[in-house]
Amino acid sequence: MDPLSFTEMTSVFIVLFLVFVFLGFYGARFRKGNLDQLWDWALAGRKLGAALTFFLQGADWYTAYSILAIPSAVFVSGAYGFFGVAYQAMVFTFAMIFIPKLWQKAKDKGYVTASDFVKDKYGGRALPVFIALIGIFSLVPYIALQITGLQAVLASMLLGTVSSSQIAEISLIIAFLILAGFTYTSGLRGATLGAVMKDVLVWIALIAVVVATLFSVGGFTTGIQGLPSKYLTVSPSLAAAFSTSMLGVVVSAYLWPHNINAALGAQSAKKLRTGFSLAVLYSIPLALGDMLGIYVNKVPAAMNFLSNFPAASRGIYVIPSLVITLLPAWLAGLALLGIFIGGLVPAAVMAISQGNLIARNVVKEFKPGLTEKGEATIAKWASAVFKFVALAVVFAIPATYALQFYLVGAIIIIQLLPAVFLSLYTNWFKKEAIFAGTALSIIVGLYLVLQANHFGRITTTLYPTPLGSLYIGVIVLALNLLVTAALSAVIPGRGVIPQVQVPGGITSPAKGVDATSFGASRASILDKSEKPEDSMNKQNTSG
Amino acid sequence: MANKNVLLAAIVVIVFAAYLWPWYNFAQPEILGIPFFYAWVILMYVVTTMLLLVYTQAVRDEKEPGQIGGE
Repeated sequence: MDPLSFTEMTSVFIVLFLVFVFLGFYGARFRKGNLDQLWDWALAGRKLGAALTFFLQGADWYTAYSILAIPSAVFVSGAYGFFGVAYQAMVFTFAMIFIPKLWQKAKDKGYVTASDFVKDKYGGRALPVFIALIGIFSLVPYIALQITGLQAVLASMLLGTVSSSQIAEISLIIAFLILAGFTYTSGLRGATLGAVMKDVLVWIALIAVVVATLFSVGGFTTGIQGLPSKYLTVSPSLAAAFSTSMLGVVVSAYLWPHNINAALGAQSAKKLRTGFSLAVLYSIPLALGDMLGIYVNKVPAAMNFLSNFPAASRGIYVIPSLVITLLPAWLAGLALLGIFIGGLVPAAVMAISQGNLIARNVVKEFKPGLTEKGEATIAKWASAVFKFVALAVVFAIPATYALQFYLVGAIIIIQLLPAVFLSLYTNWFKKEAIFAGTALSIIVGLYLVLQANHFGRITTTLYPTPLGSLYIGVIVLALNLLVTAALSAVIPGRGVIPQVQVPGGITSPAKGVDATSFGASRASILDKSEKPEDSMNKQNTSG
Repeated sequence: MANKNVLLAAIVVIVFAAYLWPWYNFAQPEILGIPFFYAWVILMYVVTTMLLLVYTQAVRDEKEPGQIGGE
């Protein structure tokens, strides 16, 4: 790249980054509330309409990782790698069963996290703290993974410049300081405004790079001719792996605390459902972008660019290589910035949810006298600290390992299915049973991962079985369900007795999140007609 | 209401049948030049979105602010 184009590209990148920073800080004034309250800071005061919910869901779920790593997987493994985008429609369909119901309960009772729900339903201290800690720890590698995406963008942009790796490291630290600053002041509002910008830029970027690549290779059909057959179809021996890997992601997707966090920010369950429905469409440009993992093979300039990177980590540079070699410099700068903030926005929401979990479900559990403001302050500081923990993880551990940590993280987070999703629909489980099932399946899951990798470097999360290779997350989820159900049947006593009055502690209206809109009378009215079906019947008869 | 749950269950079955097992794993026929495997995945996004929007419209039990006291 000539110096003039390089200047043009980096100038566009920097100017747009400044716009992003402005939006982030401006977020504090957007649909203003009282940011000293945790739910207002973390859930944007539940003021996100259908459009903003759509943008935030999109930004939160379609991360820099999915923009960079799925094309990488397709480039390396062919059609099998496409599982990373083939599950998208199922993710939002599955979420439709549980998340609007969780949203409604959260709204009625003032929950901010999934742990709040577990606490309210099962009581006690061990289970909700355990659920919160699982969320906090499994998010660390997920944030780290976003950072490796950011690194890839910076590395491809700075390729060939003097001391590029130092510049990349310093830029990353600066970006994170700014991110921590506006997450602290604006919470989910700042992230949401950033999300709108991110989504728009990513769509422009993906469409531009798809069109440019198709022109370069002569269309979908000619672009695939002569390439290995792995690019056309999934090898039949991998069908079970393809299927169970998708299932694992579908079930775990909305158990991730940051996704629950973003969903609970919606203004109404209806707006949430609309946002979910439309978020599926986001997958179209993404799927086309992921197919570039195939077509890049036919773009000599991009292949030449890729040869600057070690063969083992080349895949993640597929999209940046096409952006830089095929697009005009200004558009390349815009596209790279889109992918860059595509990593920053989800990282911000992830850190916000970590802050929530630690303040609300861990610290407050042991310091019950904590004020509303104190809780929010701890959450804000913790979210800043967790960003830098993840950054430290990335600087300490090579990127190739971080990727595997994410897949292991998903094996852990999927085990929250009985505690959170299934508990929305049944009172039959006993909390001791859930605790045992979740803990056991996590331990067995981690052991199977180590065993499948012969106790060496982690390169796979599939386990060979007589049925073919299966995703370990799904195998141990089955174990979890079995243990939880069996123990619930054996342990004496009734399951959860449906509550009539909001219990003390975190959801007590007296100490509650917002005395005016979450008042005691309203909470108890809603409790008596807890099932949406009931209230609907009533509405129908009265209407 | 039972009806909306049946509708959602039907949509879940359709979408999962469309995607979960890769029975659509073949190269031919191509759609707009895209091998069938990829084209199917992309086409079904549009179908899924329409189904989910139908469901969203069908559910009218939202407790919007102001409605709560009126039960």
